[in-house]
Amino acid sequence: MRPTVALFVPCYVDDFYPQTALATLEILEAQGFRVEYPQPQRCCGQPFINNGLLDEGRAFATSFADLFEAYDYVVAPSSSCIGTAKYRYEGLLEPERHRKLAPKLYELCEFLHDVVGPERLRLEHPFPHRVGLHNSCHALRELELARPSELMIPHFSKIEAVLSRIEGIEIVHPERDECCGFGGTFSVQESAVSAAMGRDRIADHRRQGVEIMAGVDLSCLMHMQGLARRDGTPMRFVHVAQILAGRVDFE
Amino acid sequence: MRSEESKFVDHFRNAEEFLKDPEQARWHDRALWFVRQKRDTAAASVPEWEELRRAAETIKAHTLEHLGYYLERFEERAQANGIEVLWAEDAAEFRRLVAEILQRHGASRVVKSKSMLTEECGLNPHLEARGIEVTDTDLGERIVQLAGDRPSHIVLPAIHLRKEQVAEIFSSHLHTDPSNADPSYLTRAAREHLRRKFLEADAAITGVNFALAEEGAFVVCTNEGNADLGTALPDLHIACMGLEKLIPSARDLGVFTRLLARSATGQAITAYTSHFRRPKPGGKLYLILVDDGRSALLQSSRRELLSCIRCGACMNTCPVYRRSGGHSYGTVVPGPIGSALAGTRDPGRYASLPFACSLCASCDLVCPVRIDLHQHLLDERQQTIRVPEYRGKVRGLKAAAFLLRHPRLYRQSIAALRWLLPRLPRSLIYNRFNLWGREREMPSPAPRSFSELYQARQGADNER
Amino acid sequence: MNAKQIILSRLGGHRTPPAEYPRPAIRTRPFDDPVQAFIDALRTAGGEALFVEDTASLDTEIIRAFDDPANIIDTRTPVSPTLETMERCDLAIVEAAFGVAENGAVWIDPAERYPRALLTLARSLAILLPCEAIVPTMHEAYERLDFDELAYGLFMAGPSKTADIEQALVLGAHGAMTLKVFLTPISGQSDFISPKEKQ
Ligand code: SF4
Repeated sequence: MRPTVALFVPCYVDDFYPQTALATLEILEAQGFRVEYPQPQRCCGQPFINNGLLDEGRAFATSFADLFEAYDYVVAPSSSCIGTAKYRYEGLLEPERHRKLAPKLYELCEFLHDVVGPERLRLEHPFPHRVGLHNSCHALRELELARPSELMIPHFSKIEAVLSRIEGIEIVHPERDECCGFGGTFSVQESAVSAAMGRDRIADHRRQGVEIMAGVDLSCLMHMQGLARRDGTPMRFVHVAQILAGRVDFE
Repeated sequence: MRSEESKFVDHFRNAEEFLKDPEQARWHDRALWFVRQKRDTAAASVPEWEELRRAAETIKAHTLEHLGYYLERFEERAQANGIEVLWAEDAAEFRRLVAEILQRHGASRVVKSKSMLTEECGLNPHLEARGIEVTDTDLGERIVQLAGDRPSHIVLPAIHLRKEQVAEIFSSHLHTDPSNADPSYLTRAAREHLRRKFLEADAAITGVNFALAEEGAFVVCTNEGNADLGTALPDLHIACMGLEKLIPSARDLGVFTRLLARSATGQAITAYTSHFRRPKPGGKLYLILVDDGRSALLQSSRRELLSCIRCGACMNTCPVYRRSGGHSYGTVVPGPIGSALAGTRDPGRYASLPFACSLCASCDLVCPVRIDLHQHLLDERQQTIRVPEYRGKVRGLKAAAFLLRHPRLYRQSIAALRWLLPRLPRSLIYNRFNLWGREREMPSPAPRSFSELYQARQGADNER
Repeated sequence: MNAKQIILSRLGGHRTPPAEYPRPAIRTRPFDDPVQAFIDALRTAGGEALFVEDTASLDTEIIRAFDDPANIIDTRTPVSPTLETMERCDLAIVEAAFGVAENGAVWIDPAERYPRALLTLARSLAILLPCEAIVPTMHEAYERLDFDELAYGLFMAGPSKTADIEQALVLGAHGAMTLKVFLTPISGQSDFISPKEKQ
């Protein structure tokens, strides 16, 4: 029997970035998985957990587990939501429940890399563009999807391994693999520093001659997109899933 | 203790202030990122770097687990070496002890090398009030001392000042040419000025980087040689250390001396790594062991913070620190470790510091003793979110949680937003309460949500 | 209760002696050419290493390397200079017990042979180090050190330095402004070949 993958769509992605969710669904189906979208889906609880409001966090953790624990795999186009469920639900769910849930959770590229394997990927849409890759902190330093520059370990990047299978794509890295400054409520509570950080990331990519920035977390991209729009900086933002599924449509 | 104790430190406002000078802010960010890069190069040159970090973490955890035992052993060995060991419960007792020793020896001019502990305990003002002149001899510390300022970084105390500002400070205190901001010229002037202070001093105060329980000795690391010169001339040396500076033995020093300077500045080792085991002939050597909250920290869930070797790497890598400056934290030790420590001291006053963090976790990975700094900051938010200043924030979050817990209600509000946003005048959307919109454009909801698209897709599938 | 007793009582359960201490063992990788590594590291630290082919010419080579210093204090035989002579000292010649390849540091222990202050008051330092006495890393360095007789000793890596003004490196903060290490053949070993010639 084909394993069933449950698709988790982060709350803000559902309404603001439906194309990314659709792309995720399509790319998973294209690999031969049966994909279900169980409902009603709720927020992963990250904003509450990260602000120390654990009672609220516990409620979201519980509904997440209720909805997803029966599946073989849970995949989301977001490293920060997956990271939350994987690492921050510890202590919010019963230990046994969390222990069983955590290994089923995958960020999309992680799933394509670890479960499918980059060589066996079925990807049909070329993307002949120069793309700056934004490695979000949760992908880099929490889910360990690539080597962060701080660690003295051999180089690897699961995201790049997957994305580089796309025909025609040219992947470019910024000089610094630094945080973009989104950080959830950090973006409003520390808006000045947050904006400075985001502008620096955009400028870094611009210096590499990049006009399309891709990433695995829409929250980071949404923040930088907001800054670029305000400043009139020519930079377009796209989720990696959309490149993989050939669903890139710059308005 | 200090008078401003209960005043709320608003990191956001302080950071905003710092960023008002964009050129200075950019310089600060770049200068410190450069130090971080030098750290990367230095770390990469050691094939067993990550192994060293794990070893350092293990040694520190082991020492802390048996801290009382090692402290007593250290005291016993140090006394046998002729070092007089004293204990101070808190900052006040520490200040009193130092003043007493100095007065007993008739010392009125003191040269002091870098010691974060003496900053923490407010030693200088205490001694100065008793007619004792204290000269900070580390160049960076001397600059801020002359300026009546405070260090903004634990390794690079004057990193917030530009050379032109230093030229100004020196010209009014050391009578240098105000128009000459050449670092070599200014450093020479400081050397001459401080050389006189060294020669006149009748006591030296130093910090301690590592104390060795087995050998009853301690190590002081500097680049300038100020601890060595300071202690070599006068007959009186007072070394000050927090309880946590202890390690079991000199055989553990290899791990730490390999990590410290590489993490701090990207040097393979500090220019001077000096080992003090006995007073010099005819001299007197005191060592004061200071608790000042450390034993309480040891018993708490924040114990790991005591492993810190004060290398400053977490500051250099912190994207927030680099863009807000050390003074924005309102603490003696700024940056990630400073924020984590401040929360354990006065969670009310320092409530904003755990939030001055985007949770990027870069600090955890550069930390030579592998402290989970961002995890500690996250955990501390559970307390600090409860201060009165964040009541509005909590209310907002709770309302959002309520909305997100109720899909039907949530859908309705999004639908309302979808209808409202294009119709509202821009000035109403980007009002002063819209913190997101201060710097950025708002994303707009798509015409149809994924849930709707999915339903339509399923419907089409079923018809087929 | 005095402060010590109060603090120790606060430390409560943390006073038990460790049953065992499995000191983490670090697997270091040896240098292909430790002497060259030492030379490179010392240069990075702002110092300089010079080979002395023949111990007989050591003194002249030192003088030449420092541009005829006027006031020299040579500590190869015990000396007790006054503060004034140390202050005026252009060059102090001191012996190092061993050096460390990974960072260019040398271990110096003045013991009773000369005052500690000489090491920082002298404008320049000439440090004599037998070529063979270079250990790979700080781990081996500490294995070699004997604390039993030590009063004060230090690893010195290059001259005194600071970067406290705008991160601009300036040599000669408070201590020596220049530091040169003279790599000497082991005394009595006539067939000494410098590693450079070996290649
Ligand atoms: S917490 Fe770690 S990185 Fe920060 S100063 Fe301490 S030892 Fe260095």
